[in-house]
Amino acid sequence: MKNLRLSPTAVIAALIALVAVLAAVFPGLFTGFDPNDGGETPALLSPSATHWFGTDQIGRDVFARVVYGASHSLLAALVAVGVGLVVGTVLGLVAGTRPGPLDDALMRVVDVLLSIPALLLSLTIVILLGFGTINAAIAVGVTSIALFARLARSQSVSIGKSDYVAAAYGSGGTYWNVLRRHILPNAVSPVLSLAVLQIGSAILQISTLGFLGYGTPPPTPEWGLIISEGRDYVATAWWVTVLPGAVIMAVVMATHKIGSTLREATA
Amino acid sequence: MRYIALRIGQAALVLFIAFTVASLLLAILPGDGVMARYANPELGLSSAEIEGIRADSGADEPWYVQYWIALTGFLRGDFGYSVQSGAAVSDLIGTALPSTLALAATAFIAAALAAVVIAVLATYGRARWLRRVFDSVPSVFISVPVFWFGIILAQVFSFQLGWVSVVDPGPVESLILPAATLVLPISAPIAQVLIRSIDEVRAQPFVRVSQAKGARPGWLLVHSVTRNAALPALTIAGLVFGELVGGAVVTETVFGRAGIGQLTAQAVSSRDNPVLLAVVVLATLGYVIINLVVDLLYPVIDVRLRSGRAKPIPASRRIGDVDAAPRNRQEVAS
Repeated sequence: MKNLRLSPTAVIAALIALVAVLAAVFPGLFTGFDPNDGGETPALLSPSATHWFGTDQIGRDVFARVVYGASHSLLAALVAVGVGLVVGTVLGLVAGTRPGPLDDALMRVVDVLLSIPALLLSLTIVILLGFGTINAAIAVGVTSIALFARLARSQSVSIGKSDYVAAAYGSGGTYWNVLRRHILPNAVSPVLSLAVLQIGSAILQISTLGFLGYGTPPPTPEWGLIISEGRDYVATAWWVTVLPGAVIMAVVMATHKIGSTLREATA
Repeated sequence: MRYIALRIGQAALVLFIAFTVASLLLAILPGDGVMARYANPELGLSSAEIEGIRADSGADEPWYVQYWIALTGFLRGDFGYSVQSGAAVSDLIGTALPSTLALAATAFIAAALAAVVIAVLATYGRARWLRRVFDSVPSVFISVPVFWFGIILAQVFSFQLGWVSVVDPGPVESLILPAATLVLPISAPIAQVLIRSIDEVRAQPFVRVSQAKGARPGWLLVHSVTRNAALPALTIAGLVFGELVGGAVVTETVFGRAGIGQLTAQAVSSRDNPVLLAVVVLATLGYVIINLVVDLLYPVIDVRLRSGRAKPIPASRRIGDVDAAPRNRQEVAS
């Protein structure tokens, strides 16, 4: 971490990410409007001091929907990254420390996961598990397993060649002990910075599934779903579509920036 | 020769496992497309009639028999029947494929041109700010939600400006906006690779030598740098293919354009597993073939161009080889 260099863009990215996390945890801090009930508010009001992002086709405050949507989209992204991180890292570590048939077999599995285009792979999982926020998140997570597995494997292979691992085995360390005490701690930081980098991609993929209608069901304010609901009104009310999309883009760019900064620091 | 045989065998194995897993998960274990479709009481079929249909379609066979039928069917190009429409899946795909291929080819060419422009400006731009702006373009492009960008393009260029009609457009006109949408996710990884390799090639001694002999920057860019730097772009062919497939699903949905992508989206919505299975297997076949060709081609091209410094980078996503070219969106973002 001592190599961490904070450029101005990295600071802005961190601020955007902080706001997004706060919105996900304490949406009430940012808006007093109900995301699912517009009450008597007229439909399709353009953005104003009261309704920052305007209102949608049934009078709901779009900004409130985006704010409350942060929890669904970010939680789903965390679940997705968690699935890829845990499954992929375990596969990669085992493959990297057990050369031979097991390594070969696990890496063929990884090849198969990589050879199916990501969206089709996630659609396959979603059709198996059923539509919904968590299922879409798991589906997106599966598409990143191969990535984590490759990284964890290459890390554990290079760590496995080091003298201290040989010394640990030589002084009577068991396989699991060496894996847990020596290989895992040293492999973990590049894997974690990949995980941060992966969050942005997961947000995009989940919003794509939401937009296509396979994620969170309405009226839950998931980001992709908000855009999909607003697209029929884009000719008269651009804000319902354009502004939530700009928020997605800002958050994704911010996580990418943070991820690449961490990656350079840990490389 | 041994290497070629090994690579072909490996590709066939990956494809075979992918088919096995996908067909077991999608078509055979959940089993009963027939039940899902015909057990609806509104159709008024007796259980004997349903049994008859199941027997005819093979749904009552044990799973390994169904798997064998599916495998031999796929090898013959027979992908079964759509649960939703009853049409042969191979017919559905045959009808949808030309329009998706046209979209993918147009988008790819446009994206490759855009990538070259971005990369040249990012590395040879006159002003420092210009280089910095274009250097960050790939990571911006990769952060844009593709479906959102498509909606905006349709709104701006067809409804506001009226330049392109999306209502009953001609064959060429209908390609413009979907292809333009796809330029973002496709050009980003290509531009990224080009930027990296132009930077690398520029630092090579042979470029210095040409420079010292009086080569003008423009000549140098075209003859030495770009030609050598374009080679690593081959390594991301598989990634680009995957982005094209995913992008087709999204853009065809946004623009209401018939094709494989729309067929896929409809198959998922109506849980039409045989159609999804066929699309997944064909896309995987495409990916595996592209990577195989690139893998076999790369050493051939590289031997002639090799300057003694670089070992050929195998295009397959070789394990442990994460530092080569970006093989995924994350590496483009960083």
